[in-house]
Amino acid sequence: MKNHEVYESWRQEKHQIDVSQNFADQVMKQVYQWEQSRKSPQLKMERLIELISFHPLAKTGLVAAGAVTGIVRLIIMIQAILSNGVVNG
Amino acid sequence: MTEETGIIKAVLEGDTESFRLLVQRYQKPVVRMIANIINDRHICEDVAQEVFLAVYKKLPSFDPARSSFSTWLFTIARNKSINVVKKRRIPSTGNPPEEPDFSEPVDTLIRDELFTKLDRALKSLSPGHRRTLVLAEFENLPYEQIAQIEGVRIGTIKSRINRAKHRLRSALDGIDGGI
Repeated sequence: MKNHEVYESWRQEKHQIDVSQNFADQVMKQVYQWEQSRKSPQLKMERLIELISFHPLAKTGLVAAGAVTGIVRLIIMIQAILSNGVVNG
Repeated sequence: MTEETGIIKAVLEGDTESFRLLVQRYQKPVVRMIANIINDRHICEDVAQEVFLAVYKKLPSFDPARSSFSTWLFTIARNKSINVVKKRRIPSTGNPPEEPDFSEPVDTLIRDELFTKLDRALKSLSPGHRRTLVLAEFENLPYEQIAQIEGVRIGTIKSRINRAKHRLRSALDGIDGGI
């Protein structure tokens, strides 16, 4: 058996795979469950996270809000340190 | 409008059941691709289900002008596989290859031994090289599509495949002929 013959038959073996007969049913079940939860009036935390993660604008907004909060906190801290320094000094 | 585009349009217009057609069309390549990337046939269907659910959720953001549906789907499957490997910390060596059954004829034993060598070589590849080889050799995708899925240039894909094949060839050293 030559090198390329071995490789080809190995490739063919890797190409063969059996998928469960109810695979599509399982997927559709999950899809319908998700649709059901989406239609429920309560906005759950999971849904909110999903909404944020699937919308680039929401993600950008969240990161921007986090950055602004961080900068504001940093400014407040620096001000506090400087004012303490002035009082003590 | 292609048949696939028509199905996607129907799903987006509220015909959820039409999504089953897409699942049935792509279930085999997606499961196979995941199985060969994460090197675990036990969990590949669970991961593939997660992929299809993610595809359904993200379907409104699919842009046919940017890529074909299959490229988009394989990209999601690729990313999910990478996450699974990272989360579950599946070692690159993966499941041990099946040991040859010595009650089988000699030809089969030799073949099994060579397959084991190739399996080991495949598992020893870096994740990027492995994914590229899986997409090119097992899924028979064109280099251009693989480059889109991997987010790299075609030249990188060609180089990865050459290197991966070289490793596989080394695994079969001593046997006549080339890969």
